Amino acid sequence: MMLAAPDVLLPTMLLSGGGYAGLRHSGYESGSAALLMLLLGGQAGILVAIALPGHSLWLAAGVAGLAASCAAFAAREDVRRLILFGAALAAIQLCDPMGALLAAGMLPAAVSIGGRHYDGREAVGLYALLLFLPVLTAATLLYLGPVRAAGLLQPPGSWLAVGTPISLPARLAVAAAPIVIAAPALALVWGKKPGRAIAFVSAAFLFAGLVAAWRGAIREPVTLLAAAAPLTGAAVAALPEGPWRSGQAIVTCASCLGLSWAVLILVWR
Amino acid sequence: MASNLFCNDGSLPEEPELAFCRQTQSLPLEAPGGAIRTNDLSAENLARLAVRHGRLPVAAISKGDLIAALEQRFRSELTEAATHGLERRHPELSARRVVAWGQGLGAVAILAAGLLGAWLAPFAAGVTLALLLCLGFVANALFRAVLVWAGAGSAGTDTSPDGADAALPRYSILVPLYREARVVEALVAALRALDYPSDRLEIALVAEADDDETLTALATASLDERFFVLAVPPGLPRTKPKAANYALQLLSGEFIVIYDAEDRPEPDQLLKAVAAFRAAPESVACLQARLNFYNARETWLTRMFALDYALWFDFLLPGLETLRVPMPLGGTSNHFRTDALRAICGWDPYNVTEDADLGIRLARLGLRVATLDSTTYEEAPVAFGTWLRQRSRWMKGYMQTWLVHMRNPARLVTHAGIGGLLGLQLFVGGTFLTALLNPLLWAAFLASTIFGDAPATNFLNVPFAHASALSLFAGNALFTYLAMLGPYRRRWLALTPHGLAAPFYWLLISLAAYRGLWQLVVRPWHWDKTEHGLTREPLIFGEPAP
Repeated sequence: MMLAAPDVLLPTMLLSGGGYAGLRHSGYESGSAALLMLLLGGQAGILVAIALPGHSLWLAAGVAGLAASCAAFAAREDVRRLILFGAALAAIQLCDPMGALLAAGMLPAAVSIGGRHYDGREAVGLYALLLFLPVLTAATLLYLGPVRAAGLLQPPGSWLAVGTPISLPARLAVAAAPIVIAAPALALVWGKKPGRAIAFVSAAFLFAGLVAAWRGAIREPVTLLAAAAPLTGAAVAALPEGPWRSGQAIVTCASCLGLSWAVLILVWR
Repeated sequence: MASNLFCNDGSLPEEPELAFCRQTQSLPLEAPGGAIRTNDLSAENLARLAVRHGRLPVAAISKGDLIAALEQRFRSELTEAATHGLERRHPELSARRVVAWGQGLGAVAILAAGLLGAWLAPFAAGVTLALLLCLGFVANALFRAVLVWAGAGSAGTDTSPDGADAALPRYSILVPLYREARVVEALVAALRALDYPSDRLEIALVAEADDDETLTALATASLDERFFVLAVPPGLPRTKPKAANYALQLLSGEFIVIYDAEDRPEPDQLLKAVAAFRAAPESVACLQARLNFYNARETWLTRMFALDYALWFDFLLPGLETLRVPMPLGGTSNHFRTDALRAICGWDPYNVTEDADLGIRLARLGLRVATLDSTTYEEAPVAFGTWLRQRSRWMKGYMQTWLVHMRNPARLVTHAGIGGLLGLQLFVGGTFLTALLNPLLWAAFLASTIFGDAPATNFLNVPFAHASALSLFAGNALFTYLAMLGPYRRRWLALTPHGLAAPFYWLLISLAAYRGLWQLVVRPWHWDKTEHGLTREPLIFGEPAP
């Protein structure tokens, strides 16, 4: 098992600990939360990344942090959640080469995500606050360009190939795969206020993947597919309270788990 | 004797005459067997007077006449206590002496060690100095980030009103004035707008006896029976804390609040303060209301000042409160339990940020300061010169406060704990040290960038270049972000982008810090008066900020 690899061990710990805590905080009982974590951890991207070398779970960890902080900010726009949301937008750039694109994809929705109305000057102010940390991170990474080109401070994981002879439809399909896997969960919260944040993160993720694919780069598939698990988890955490909530979440996660393996087999074939 | 009127530590066997007169709102007997003249005709008070003077006729006297008569009778004692009370009782806590002998010797020893090190091993000395300075700069930035995080989660004191009118205690308002003729009418209107029973409120407007312009404006102002005017006899030091101490001895409220001449407190502030005091433990001796400006959008300078204040009062002070670190007070809208204020001998008349010093002294007595969820709006200086003089005074005062409380660090730890010592270094000391350091780091960075590996500046290049660049950018980036966060709690988001200009604003603060340092040497107790009434913004009460 490649669990001991640095690109896998630490993000696995973050994903499992943070994921469990997030599900408990959203109201799931400990047993349900543990079962949900097993189902999420059993998704193809996560298991294969843990089992085989050459993969990374940092993108998944970054997406998890972004989804959680975005949902928290949407629920209540207080200072601490604002800081964490900005920090997540900054951190995703350090997690993965796709991170900057993903952060950029969040921009159109960032200010309106909580549903509050802001006039022009207020919106500019809120954007300035949200963008400060990510822009500072991007500028620092640019400044450290020569250092990074020497192989140091590279975000973990890699592009599979740039300009390799893989057809555009195939590249786009791989980029969209994580959203397809998480679709059953996303569909449950689509259009509802708590799920709006998750929908935005998913849309940004799709945007980032499609842009990268269109430009000829394709992200290593398992690393990409692993990001479906935190999107699924964030969506079930946003499910409204109700007597069938736990059952609904378990069935949904099981569906996403099955989909993930089906998609992985298709990709590998 | 005079100092005992003031520093009421209960060590005297008898109550001094002035204290008794204040408590019973009465005049001293003019002659044995004469009438007792009092402003408080309650049965309880009359009984107290009878115990002291025996059964004598009682005559009513108005509040204004009572205060005027007491002031005339005890003027020299009031002045003596106001000027020398703290110094006589606790000389080690008075800023009358700028630097203690031990501090002076210590500074010389450190300087000598530094020069010796620079002579023997210049490169190592340069590296050590660079690292220490940069570490201090970054540590201060990180501490403020921690305070913002802690303050962001602060729920504030409970200010929900409790109980009927009848339960409200007597409240004293104290407003020192000096050359404030322009703002007297607006001040009086703001104080009249305060929502508090008239018969429980006394308002002392404290001017200097030779400030004819202000006294004339007060004489023609529309003052009702709650107000009375005091005239502090001329004398050095001529400072706001001395005037406040003078009035403190005549005020009879269970709680006292101090305001500035240009203040406009929210009308329910006193009610909130009473509720908060009652909900808080006895150890909470002071409540600091939030401050901000009603002319925040007037100029670039007022916008930056508003950002400054928003960060300070909405995040940093609540952060200090949450972490139980001693809190330097802001200069106005400090609400006190009067007994606690007298126990610490009031304000230090020789400290030009007497408010900051008071917060630390409260902590040394085991008392706490909490923040009050109510805002007082002030006038931000519009002209750069006015701003610079005010900020220089604040920097000088913070240096004074740090020097006073660092005379005996071991005793400070005993009184206020390790948190008190660290808070004093990082928050009080850090405020002026980062301001003094900032331009040095910029200069080191620019010199190493411009001159590169030139031999003459080589000692700058290696030790200072990297450390200064890292500290400069990391520290300034963090400070900039915090400045932008400042107005968020009030949702003044239109101000936020102006925070990006904070590094330029801090260079102005650095200028003020050096000016304050110079004044500490040549004129340590000089009070650079801030002019008010210069804003063009209409004084519409309650107008929302930008």
